[in-house]
Amino acid sequence: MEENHMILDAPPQAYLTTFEESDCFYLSGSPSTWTNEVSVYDLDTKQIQAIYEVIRLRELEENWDSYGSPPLKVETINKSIALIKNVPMEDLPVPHVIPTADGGIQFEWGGIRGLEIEVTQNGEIEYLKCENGEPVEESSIERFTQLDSLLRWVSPV
Amino acid sequence: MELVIIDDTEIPNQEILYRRIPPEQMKFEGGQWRVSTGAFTTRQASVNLASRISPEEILGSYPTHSLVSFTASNIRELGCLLAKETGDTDPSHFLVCREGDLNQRISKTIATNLIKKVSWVRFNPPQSTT
Repeated sequence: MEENHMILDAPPQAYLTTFEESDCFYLSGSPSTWTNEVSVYDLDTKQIQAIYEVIRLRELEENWDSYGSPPLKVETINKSIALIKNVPMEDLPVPHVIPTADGGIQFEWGGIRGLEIEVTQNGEIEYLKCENGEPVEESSIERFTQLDSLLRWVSPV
Repeated sequence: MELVIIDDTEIPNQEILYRRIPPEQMKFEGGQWRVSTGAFTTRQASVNLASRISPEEILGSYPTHSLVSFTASNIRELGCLLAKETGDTDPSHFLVCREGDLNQRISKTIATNLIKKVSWVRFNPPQSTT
């Protein structure tokens, strides 16, 4: 966990080094990938940081929340990584990456106009828009191409 | 799993409910630690009655977890109810379920509104700040 503090604002290369040294599931700067390798080629630092947080959730063990939650499924992690690769973050803060009680992974952007996007354990993508802390729209999307309009809701950096 | 609905004569509205929060479901936002809705968006969310168990007993095996409280009234006002799994021998343990369909997931909207009502009973800041 300590290395996480060290790389928060570091350039992408630092993430690559950390993973090569500490984890069998690591990020790659190459556009091609091997087993247990996630390509971060052409991604910005914020996307890489979010992907790093997703990969860290692989460490969660059975009953990690004390209420019987199972470890996250590989499919959920892979779809969450794919989602982040489709989220342009130039004007957005890095989202909080939160595992949900029933096996999903949720990305949360706070602020006056907040947004939660979750990859559920069934692979569905659900979202909630909030304004001044009040929920204003809860629904789901079927394609990553719908993310663009959703993200325009979020308060910029 | 069979569930029995518990009405407000058995558990009054003012009853305080506890739920553990693991560090992974906390976020630092707006200058303070907050609970993520991810801690509640599940089909049946376990809670313990404050009148039947102490915070120390609940957190005994989970020293890195925090504990929040809210009331039975809070969840009922949001369209949820308390239920008990048949065969559950823990007198303090109940489940927060959606009214109308006990197997329906607690929505993000409900969770967002519930989080506004929660209070920290025991707060253990996560070791990793992201």
